[in-house]
Formats: sequence, structure tokens, C-alpha cells
Amino acid sequence: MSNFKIFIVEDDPFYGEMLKYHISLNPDYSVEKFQTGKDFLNNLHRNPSVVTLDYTLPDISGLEVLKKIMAYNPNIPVIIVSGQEDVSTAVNLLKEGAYDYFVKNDETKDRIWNSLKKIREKLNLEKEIDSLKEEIGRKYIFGNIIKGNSPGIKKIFSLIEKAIQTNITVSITGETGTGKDLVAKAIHYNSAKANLPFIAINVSAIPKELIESEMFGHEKGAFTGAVTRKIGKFEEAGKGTIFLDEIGEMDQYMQVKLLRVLQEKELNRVGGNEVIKVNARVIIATNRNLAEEVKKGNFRQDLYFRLLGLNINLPPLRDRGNDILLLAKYFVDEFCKENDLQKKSLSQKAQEKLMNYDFPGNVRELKAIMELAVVMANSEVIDDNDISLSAATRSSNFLMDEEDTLQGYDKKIIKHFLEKYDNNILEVAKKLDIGKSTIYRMIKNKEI
Amino acid sequence: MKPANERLYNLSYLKEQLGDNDEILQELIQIFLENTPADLADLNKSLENNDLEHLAAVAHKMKSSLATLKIDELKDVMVSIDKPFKTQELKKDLPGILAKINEVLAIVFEQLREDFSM
Repeated sequence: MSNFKIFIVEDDPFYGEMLKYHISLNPDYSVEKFQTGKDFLNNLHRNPSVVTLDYTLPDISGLEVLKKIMAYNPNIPVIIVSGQEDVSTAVNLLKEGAYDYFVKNDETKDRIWNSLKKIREKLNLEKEIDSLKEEIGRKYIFGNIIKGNSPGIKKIFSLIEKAIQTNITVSITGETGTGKDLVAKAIHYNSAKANLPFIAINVSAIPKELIESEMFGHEKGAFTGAVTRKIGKFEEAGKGTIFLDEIGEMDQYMQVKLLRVLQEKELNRVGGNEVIKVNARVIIATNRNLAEEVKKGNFRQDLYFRLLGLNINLPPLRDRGNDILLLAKYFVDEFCKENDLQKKSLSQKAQEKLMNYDFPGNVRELKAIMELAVVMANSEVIDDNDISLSAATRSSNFLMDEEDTLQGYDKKIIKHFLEKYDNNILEVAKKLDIGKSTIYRMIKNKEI
Repeated sequence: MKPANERLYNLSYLKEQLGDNDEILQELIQIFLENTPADLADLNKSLENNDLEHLAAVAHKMKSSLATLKIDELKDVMVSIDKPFKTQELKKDLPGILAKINEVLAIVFEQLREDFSM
């Protein structure tokens, strides 16, 4: 039985039978006929794909039946077939949600035929869109995209879980390559807004002069070259999610503009007076330390507080312990699957090499390294020689790059620890077992 | 009135719609012959009861099948009484109009039974 179900509601048995026969000529349609409005409404729960409805029925008026169908499911297309040639009746029915209106005459059946064809095409497209959306959603089930068992990443999972529950602004921080954009998508596609748009803007990728019109749109003629009206990303996002990546790169002027839009929850297109409501959820990301940027005066404090919301700080890969191997194996498996290669494993030495590496490019770098390693490996086992690391390994990354004096090494060590402990001098002094005044003096003398 | 042996209907349009499927044509004619006499009786009764609104509704219902069978003699007649305001206007002429419908349909029924051996 075909799943394109057409219900004909027609009180004239002769005309109804003829219509039924005519429509059934397409083997993909399954057609049923009802002679009274009541009979049809009793069967409405069987969810017809399309209804052709005779306007004059013996028991209930066509308008009443139409209203009942629309109340039950406004997505069912209803084609009105009527002997009435009255335009106002037609307009009224179309206003009530009828899909089409035909007067019974010699061309009616062909018109219905065409109309059905169009409805079917539309339904098929809608189905395709739904399944594509579902596919995207599946792709971003966050267990599928963010992998790991380390305590650091487990904490991230629970934060994402919290972010999904509400529309709170989320700020995602972390080094380059830690997957900030993936977290943003995971939040959007697992939230109640999953079926609404997800619009991403990379602030640093758009020239300063264009960013305002890119974000808020512009009216025709707003500036030289604005030949048409342009809808901005905020407007495009509607009630969905807008993701502002690398927000730390935004200049002061735009920061003021953005702050105003977020505060007022409305915007004007460049050169326009129309007030447009902003309903989108905001997620931002940056690899800069925004608090630090605020201190330096590069980032507005008021905007910082507005954007901070729920902060998710992604740990660098080197702090994620065994996740490095888990992810390495995952990337190897995925790459082999995509390229129809036999499964490959990692030798002990290869594993050690990975564990000792710093991964300045984090997960993104690991992925590239592992894909190259699969290509380079000659057997089913990836050896340490197959893995080429771009920078020095962890144990020597800051000390042994070049020879130095003992004093020089001292400076390097202290500098490294200061970076590691966020310039916390007390902590560093404790760790290195030296007096804090030593560090203060070196800073004062600009030695470090 | 046309000569007695000439058919008052023309099935070419209906046949075309049905893709020359004789079986379904037969079925439809049967439906027509089974249902139309009842509609006709309903029409006559409405006049007796002076229920002009119902009369218009029945005429409206009958209109499409008669048009499909291309019964030309009744084409304009049916349209002239398919709405209450029209039946009100033609109130005086209704007995004559209905007599004409009865007369033509009686012949149509007979001719169809003959053609389809029903």
C-alpha cells in the first residue's frame, strides 16, 4: 500500500467515483472516498496525506470540515472542489488554510492531478530536509564528537549538559585546536533549538569594515556597494543560535555595537530605521584570556560580563592524560574506515612518543598527525617512526632548544613556571623552592 | 427536443477522462442510474414542500454529474436553480423547470439502460 493517502470527500457518488478512479490512475496514490463530512471526520485520525473536499456536503459545511482538519493538523493540504464560483467563498477558504480551490468543471481533474503532484514533491522535500536535519543532529550528539575519559573532559561534558538545558549565553575558551566550535555545535544541536538555524561567524576572518553589516545586515544604499538589502547573521539566526568565534579579535567600535544589541535585544540594519528583534541564543569562543584582555583595556569590561555566561574552558590535550591515546586510536580508526584501509594499531613506542608530546595544536594537531601516520605506516602497526611531530617533545620543549648559560636556564625555567601557573608568583616560588623576592626582582629588572 | 433516437448525452468526455476503460465506465453509469432517480425525487419533493433552499442544494449536487455526461439540454437549467437566491427569483417558473428536468432525465435513463443493457 502506498503511503501517499488521498481522502476524497464528495457527496455525489457519481462524481466522487469518477474522481477516485481518475486519481487512482497513479499507482503511487492510495485513494479513499467519503460521502459525508461526518464519515470523513471519523477517519481523520488515519492521517491522510491530502484531502480533496467538496464544499457542499449534506451534513456539515465545507468550511466547518476544513476548520476541523486545520485544528487537527494544519499540515494536511486540503484541496477544495466546489460547484461554487463565488470568489469571496474561495478567498475565505484559502484564508482558513485551504491549499487550493477548484471549481468543478471539465478541467478540474487535471488541475487536481497537478496539484497532487506538487504537494507530493513538496512533502518529499520536507521529508528530505527533516532527515538531513536529523543526520546533522546525530553527527553532533556530543558523545560522538567530544571523546575522552579524563576528569578534565568529564567536567566539560557536565557543563555542556547544563548549557543544553537553558538558553544561557555560553563562553567557550581554550587553546587553538581544542574543539571550541564543536562544543558550540554540540550545544546547539542537542538543545531545544536543534531545528532552528545555527549561524557561525568567525570574527577574525571578516574585515573590520564589513563586520557590522555582516552581523546586523544593511539596507540598500547604506554605503557604496550596498546594492541590495542584506540580512545580517543575527537576523538569519532568528530564534536559533549565533556563534561568535574568536570574539577576542573584535575591535572596540564593534564591541560597543554588540553590547548595545545584546542589552536592548534589538538591532537596526546599517542605514536602516526598522527595529529588528534579536531572539538568538549567543555562544562565543576565544583562545585569548578575555579577563586578561579586559585588564589590558583591549576588551570592554561590560561586554565581557555580558558574554561570560556559562564558561566552558576546554583543557589542552597535553593535560588530558590517556585521552591522547584514546583519541589517537579513534582518529586512526576513522581515517582507515573513510579510506577503506585495514585497521591499524599503535606500537608501544608510538604510544610513548605521543604521550610525551606537547600538542600545541591540540586535538586538531593530533588528528593531522595520526592521519599522516596511517599513510606512512607500512604494516598494520603504526610505529614511532611513522609519527612525525612538528615541535620538540615535552621534556625538552623550553630548555634544550639552544644552549644557554646557567643564569639563562634559570630565567627560562622561572618564565615557564610563571606561564604555567598564570603569573601566580607565590605559587611559582613555592614550586621552585625559591624566595618570591627573587622573582619580583627579576621582573623589576626586566630579566624575565 | 431532439429526434427520439438521438442520445441526449455525450459520453466522449467521460470516456476520455477514464482513459477508455469500459469497466469503470459501466460502473459509473450504474452509479448514476442508481442515485440520480433518488435525487430527482428529492428535487420534486422540495418543490412540493416549498423548501427552495433544499431544492437549490439538490440541484447543485446533481449539476456536476449531469455536466459530466454532457446532457446539454439541462446544462443551463441546472445552473439557473443551483442557489437559493436563484430559486427564489424563479419561484414561479420552478414547476415548469422541474417538469423539463424530469422529462429529459426519464429519456436519459431509458437511453442509458438501452446502451449499457442494464
